[in-house]
Amino acid sequence: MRGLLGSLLVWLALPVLTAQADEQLLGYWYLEEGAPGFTIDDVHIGALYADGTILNLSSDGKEVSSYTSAEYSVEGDEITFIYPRGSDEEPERHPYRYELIDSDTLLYTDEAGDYENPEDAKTYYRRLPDNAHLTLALLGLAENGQLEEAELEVDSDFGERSVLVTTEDPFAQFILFSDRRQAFRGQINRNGVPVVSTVSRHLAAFRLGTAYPDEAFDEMIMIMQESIASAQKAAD
Amino acid sequence: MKNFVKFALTTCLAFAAMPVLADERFQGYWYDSTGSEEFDLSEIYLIESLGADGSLRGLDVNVDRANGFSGGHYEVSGDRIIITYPEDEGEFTLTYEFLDENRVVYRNEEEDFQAVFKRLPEDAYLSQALMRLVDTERPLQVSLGENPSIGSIIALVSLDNEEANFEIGMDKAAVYEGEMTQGGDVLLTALHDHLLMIRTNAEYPAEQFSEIVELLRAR
Repeated sequence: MRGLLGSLLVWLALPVLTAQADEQLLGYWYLEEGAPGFTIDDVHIGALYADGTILNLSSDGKEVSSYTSAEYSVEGDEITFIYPRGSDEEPERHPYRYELIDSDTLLYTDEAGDYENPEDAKTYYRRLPDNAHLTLALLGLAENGQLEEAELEVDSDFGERSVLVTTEDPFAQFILFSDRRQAFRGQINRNGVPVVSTVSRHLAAFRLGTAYPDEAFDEMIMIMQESIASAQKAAD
Repeated sequence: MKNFVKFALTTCLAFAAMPVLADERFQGYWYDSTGSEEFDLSEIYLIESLGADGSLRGLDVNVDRANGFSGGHYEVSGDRIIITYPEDEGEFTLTYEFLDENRVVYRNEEEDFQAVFKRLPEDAYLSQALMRLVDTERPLQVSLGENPSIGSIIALVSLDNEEANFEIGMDKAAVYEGEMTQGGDVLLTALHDHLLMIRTNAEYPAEQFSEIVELLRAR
């Protein structure tokens, strides 16, 4: 899984692509519903990778969960989402016409469906902003198979949002504090090992439980930092 | 060294402010050891702060809650001490006897009362910190709990009748260091090796939090 992430970065960097063609499609897209502007409170994110895989991240304001449900392929201005079913069944295929309205807005139109109001056939996705550090961190953990559970709290003690993250290792829990208004800085060590770390200027991680292996926490911090940094790089 | 400085300091204060108050041995923090021989914050129910000026302040402890009080006083005369608690909680005339400089027995033979007060150990870091807050005479409420991530014991502190505004965590087995800020304001800081201070409530003004950090850090 980690290999996949590594190669993803290479994919993004190199212009050489497979038949998936449109590299502008690659990256993190969120479904814009309700008020404009991104928050993690109630959102669906689809991550489109160069190898045709998709990762989903959904939040209902209480829990953030990640799952893979489909793959995609592109031909011309048509994108097809392929949902695998049982091993002896043909996968479901859902084609849409896509259009990049600008580099940050993606429109899917369901031309096969029968809609009374043609607007209902349209779904708009927006590119995840590169300052959505909390979401980028969670996406990084999910890409590395580390996001087991994530409980979201709005208006937490240490910022706008906090998320209690349970990783693959059940002893390995930490809280992420997110604040896009002001910068975090510094670190608290316990016996020389970080227990509270600045992940990025908008994100701090607070390790829970002393049974949590030191290296495991360091590794999670690194995964999150890489994810945030690569989004930054892609935006620059 | 620390003890010496403290001793020298309290002695100076005693001579400067109130030479009449005879016995400077009383000054400092004492806990009622009736409930617990060795000091354990969750087992005891009273820590007192006896000031050089005859003032008496303290912390009432009830398992996982503690409340500061101030406005009491004490007076020593001969082998007797008169202790007056605030808010009409009573005036007690007792005899006292120092077993050593860290233990004093108070007795009232008529009422068959006896209590051994022990000096609050220097390494009761959390309680020492709370008593420093008691000495500010600001309304203080504390709820005590455990948080293995931050420290073995954690105190959620409310000052000035407000919502809980910060936490102090203690872990005697660990050494803490470092500081984390948010928008330049301190969010978490190692007070010293074994205490961590956390501005739990983001609404709590950073300047007030910093003042308290300075107060608790000062030796």
